[in-house]
Amino acid sequence: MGAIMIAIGILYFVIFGLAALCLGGAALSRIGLGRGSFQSARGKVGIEIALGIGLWGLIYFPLSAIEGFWITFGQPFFIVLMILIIARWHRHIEDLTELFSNWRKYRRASTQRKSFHSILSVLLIILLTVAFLNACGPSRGWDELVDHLPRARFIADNGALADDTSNPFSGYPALCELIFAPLTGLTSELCAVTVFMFAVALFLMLAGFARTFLPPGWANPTVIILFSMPLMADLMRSALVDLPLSCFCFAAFYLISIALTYQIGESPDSNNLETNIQRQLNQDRPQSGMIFTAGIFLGFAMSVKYTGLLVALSWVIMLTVTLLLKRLGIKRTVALLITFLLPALVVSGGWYLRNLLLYGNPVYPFLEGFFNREHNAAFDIYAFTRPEMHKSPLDILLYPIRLTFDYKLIRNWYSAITPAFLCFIPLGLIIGGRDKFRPIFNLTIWLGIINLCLAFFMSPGHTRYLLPLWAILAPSAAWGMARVSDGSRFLRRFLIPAVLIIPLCLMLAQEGKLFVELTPYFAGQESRDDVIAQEMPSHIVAKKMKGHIPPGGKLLSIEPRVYYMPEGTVIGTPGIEAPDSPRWDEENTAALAVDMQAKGFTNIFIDSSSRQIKHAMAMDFFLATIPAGVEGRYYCYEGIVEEMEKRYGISHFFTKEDLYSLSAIGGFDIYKDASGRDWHWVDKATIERRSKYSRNLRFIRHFWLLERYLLEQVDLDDTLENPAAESSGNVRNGGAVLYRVNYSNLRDLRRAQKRHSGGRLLGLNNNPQLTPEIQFPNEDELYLWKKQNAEGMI
Amino acid sequence: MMSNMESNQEEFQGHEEGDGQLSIPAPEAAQDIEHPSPDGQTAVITEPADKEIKRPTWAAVLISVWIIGIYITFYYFLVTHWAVRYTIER
Repeated sequence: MGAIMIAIGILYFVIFGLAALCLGGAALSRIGLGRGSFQSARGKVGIEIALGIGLWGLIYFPLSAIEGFWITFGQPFFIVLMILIIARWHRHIEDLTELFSNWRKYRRASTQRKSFHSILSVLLIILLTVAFLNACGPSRGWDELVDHLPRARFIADNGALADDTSNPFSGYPALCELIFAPLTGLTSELCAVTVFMFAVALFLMLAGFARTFLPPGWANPTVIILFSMPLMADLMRSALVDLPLSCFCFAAFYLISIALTYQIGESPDSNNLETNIQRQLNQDRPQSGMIFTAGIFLGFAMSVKYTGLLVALSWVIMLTVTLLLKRLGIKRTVALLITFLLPALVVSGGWYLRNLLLYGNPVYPFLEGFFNREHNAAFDIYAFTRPEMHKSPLDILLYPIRLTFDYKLIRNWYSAITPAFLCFIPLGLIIGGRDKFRPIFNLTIWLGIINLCLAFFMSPGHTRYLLPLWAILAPSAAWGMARVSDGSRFLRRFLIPAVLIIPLCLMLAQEGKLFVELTPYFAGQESRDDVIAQEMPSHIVAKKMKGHIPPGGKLLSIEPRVYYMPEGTVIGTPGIEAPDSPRWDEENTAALAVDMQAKGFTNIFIDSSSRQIKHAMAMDFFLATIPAGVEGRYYCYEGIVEEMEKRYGISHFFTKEDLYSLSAIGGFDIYKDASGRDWHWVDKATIERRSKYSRNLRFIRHFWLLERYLLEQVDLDDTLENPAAESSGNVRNGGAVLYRVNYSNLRDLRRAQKRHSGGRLLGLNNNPQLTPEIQFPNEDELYLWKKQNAEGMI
Repeated sequence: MMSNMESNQEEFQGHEEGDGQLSIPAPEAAQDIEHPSPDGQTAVITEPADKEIKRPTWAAVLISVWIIGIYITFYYFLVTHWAVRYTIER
């Protein structure tokens, strides 16, 4: 199966890639931008591929208004469109052949540092190859299974204009999901391959940009700066849409940079009278063509996700200022701005109009208070803006440093960037001097400042959401590197090559590790389900659910990764509930159960073993149960877990293993006392930060009651490995098994987690025995309990 | 439209791909002549070609320390957290 997927992936990559290239090339020709406009075959091919895929989505959008179109014609239409486009505009494949012939010329050319650049080129090609193979593996990332792929599947069934009330992200623009829609009917791996295509386009554009603006020999380093970010590893192999967004944003940046440098106000060939005359004659077309195409790319970016709006806003500010500084005259400045913004609005407007008509809010679910005061989005945006982050002026200044070095607050999902930005951009600023790239460097700095400020206040501020900015900053960091390496032999010969090669090798190791994990699958030794279950242990249980849900039943899943679950599964994860989900804010559990039945739910799926969910819940468990803090710290030991199990029976949310896991992930200290008992210490600041936006505790209370008194359980754990010795004496309440594993190191812990699925399917009774008088222990009781324990421990 | 393309193609013929390793220099590299913008309203100076910079040793040492410090700090934290990630979460 795995090997077949690679073959399908290669076939799809080649054919769809060529179709996108032809479509993009034809569009560029119509606009009037030829080979000479870019100075680089690589840059042009990259832009053509990105433009082609974007236009592909634009063609799909109006078709989404036709009900049932995708389900009936989606795949045949996709295949026929590819064939038609390649047949009609196949001459643009010449751009690709030109690129390869240039490569051959370069290989033949004798240059001083050719061997070093050859090593970099070979490593980059290996990196891309391994990333491609990883993209051919099953989709198992977090957001792709929560948002992008389920939405693509929904669009395939219902069209892009319909409202998906089972998914909290239905209001987001979904250009990429629209492109994915026909592919989900084949296999989701092709969606990841599509995203990989954007990675290739971005790769080519970065190299082309560097060729145009940076000193000779700095194309590979520019690419390496971006592609050696650990953040890129997951993005290149998954169906997350951050890479497409960055690709579109960089294309806009590329075109504007050329327009500003060579066409608006400057000409690089002023000695050539004939060329100058020609340029004067044709001046309007190329520059407005560049700006116009950049506007189209900005429109694509705004159609991919809302963070594209932040990029657009920063561009509007910077382009206006830059054009005004060029003193082109108000009339021409306004004309160029309109040339830029109008296509952006036309291209992306459909998504915002859809939201306005569906929700009364073009940016739903954001700014609900402004557009739609009576309507409350179920989606908790406040939690997404990371209110736990301090937002003082000093914090803004420290933001770039925290983005680079802060591993706990900013980088929940381990998406590290590169130190090259923090290291070389300030150096470029100080010792960079002036050359043709300097104006673009300054523009980039200002764009970066505006973008970071906007992200700081208006987005979660994760490094992943800032990928468009990292792509734009990569040439600036490379320029700083180039300037630094000019003045010292040690820097030029040793240090700079080292800071290029070492991160690239680490990135290769990261991608290689992912590939090694997939090798048994590609070799046919593991099934697709096994591979998915490695990342998402509940997958095997979730697959079993289909047979347990009654006909016409409706499933509510607390596990948000619903792509492999039955269609129509409603996401009910606290914090990101879909509009159809019950509100966990409800005080009364019995009322909640009645509401769930009124909404037609017949089953609830809970994966209490999910690392991320459990991690969040475990923190709340700490808040609720552990004794009062001592010396600014809170502590917990295994006995508390057992005590909570005896008293309240909720330890399947938080086992002893989880206690160690939480401490390991959170970096908390573990102390051993004289009797050999481990004490886990959590610092007060972490607890307080967490408590500011958490509401999972209420969910735990509801679940505890629902599970015990309102629902009947269907135990699916018997499908998994179940060692009798470990499970004896631990069977509780309906047969769910709690695994007690004694482990001595982290590897054992990992094995235990893999074995423990924890997936549970609960069916709502037809006539539930509502027992509202049974309540979760109230705050006073908890306080007393905490106090007793605290006295016993100290 | 085609004439635009062709003229542009001719205009940039000669300087080519390959990380700039070919010996043909980019035409814009050596310009420092004032010339009018396309609308004729303003004059813009194209910057001179790159020159070898002579930097004192202490500056090179300072820059090296800065680079090594940032990279080591970054990768020390990164690798220690990778260990946690791959051991616990995967």
